[in-house]
Amino acid sequence: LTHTAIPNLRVLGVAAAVPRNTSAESDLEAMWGAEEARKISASSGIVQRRIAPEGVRASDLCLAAAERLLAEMPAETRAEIDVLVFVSQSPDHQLPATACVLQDRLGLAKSCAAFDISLGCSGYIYGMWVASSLLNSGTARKALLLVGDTISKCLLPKDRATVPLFGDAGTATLLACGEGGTVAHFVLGTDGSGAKSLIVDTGEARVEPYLRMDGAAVFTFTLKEIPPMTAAVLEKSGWGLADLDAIVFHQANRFMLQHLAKRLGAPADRFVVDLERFGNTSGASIPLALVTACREPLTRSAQKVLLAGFGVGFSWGACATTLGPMTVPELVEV
Amino acid sequence: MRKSEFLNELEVLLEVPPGSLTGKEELESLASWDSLAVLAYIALVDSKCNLVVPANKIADCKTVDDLVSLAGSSVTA
Repeated sequence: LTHTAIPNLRVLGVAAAVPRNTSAESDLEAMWGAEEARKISASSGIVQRRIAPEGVRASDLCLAAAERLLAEMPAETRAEIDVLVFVSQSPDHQLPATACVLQDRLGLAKSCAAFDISLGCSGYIYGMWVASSLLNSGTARKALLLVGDTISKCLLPKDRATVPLFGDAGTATLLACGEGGTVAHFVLGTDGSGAKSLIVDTGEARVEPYLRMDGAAVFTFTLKEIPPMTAAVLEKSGWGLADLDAIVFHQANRFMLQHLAKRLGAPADRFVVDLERFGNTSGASIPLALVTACREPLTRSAQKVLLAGFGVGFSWGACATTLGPMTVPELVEV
Repeated sequence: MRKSEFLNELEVLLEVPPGSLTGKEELESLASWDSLAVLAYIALVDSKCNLVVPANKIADCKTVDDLVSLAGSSVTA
């Protein structure tokens, strides 16, 4: 596994935005009956999902989160953002990169480097890794990491494997490196042999414009790769699970998260499961959970955290670092 | 783990009466054998047998006995 240690990362703030529009268990009842809907919700732990209405894109959700975050920062912050990274599998256009559009919409300097990264469930960790590596190299003063998806827009209507799970969200994280920073350990990996297990196949042949998920294959991949990844990043950081204040994994579904927690021996009071009101929001799920489940401690004091993203690709990454005290605005609804 | 204990675990998972599974049952005939049950089966084998079953092999299983066999040598007669 690829390992990187960034010596002096400062995460200045994180914000998240979700659509006001919801889809609830009653919608599942209409599709599959009350008993089946209850069974699905009981397993997934998802009662409500946020669904972006037509015309609202992942970029809009990220923009709302970024504006809310920047509103809490010193006035000069916007001008100090030298790197803008947009991590998503729901770009505005096939081309240009959505990050370029967002540079303009956010009013960032023309000297700002802006680019997209196409990753899903692991995307927040990859985004943090890329942004912090650039900051650590001295390339940039501040980096704005925008991670969001509107997976609801590519779901096959009435697909029982995906419709009950996925919701939409956008997030913004502001990073810097330097004095007052802390070590961030990253561990990353990829196994592209699992590509077809979670796929929207709209390549040249435009086979099918809908998300297809082989839940069993995704789950077995998770069981094989995530425990070793967790062990690796903890070993690098010199921390044990008991040292952590919060363990925030990609909020895939409750069944998988609870099994992983048990398998790892993670302390239940620090293992975050907070997807009941949002569903699986792809790459946005980790920063969204930081906002919805960890906001108070993160604004107050330094918290040792283990963040881990895994899924579509297959791609995975973990980060062990200390976050806070930092700016965490209340959840934004668009 | 003995096969009888494993069948008991499968009975809970499949929401069928305790002691009702013999192993000969066709999975197709069990209404509760669905995608959620597949995930629960993977978790069961991981927890009790310390084995991650290959997902594609589950699709090949026709009977409850096939699920028992796939759980590997830690399930004994």
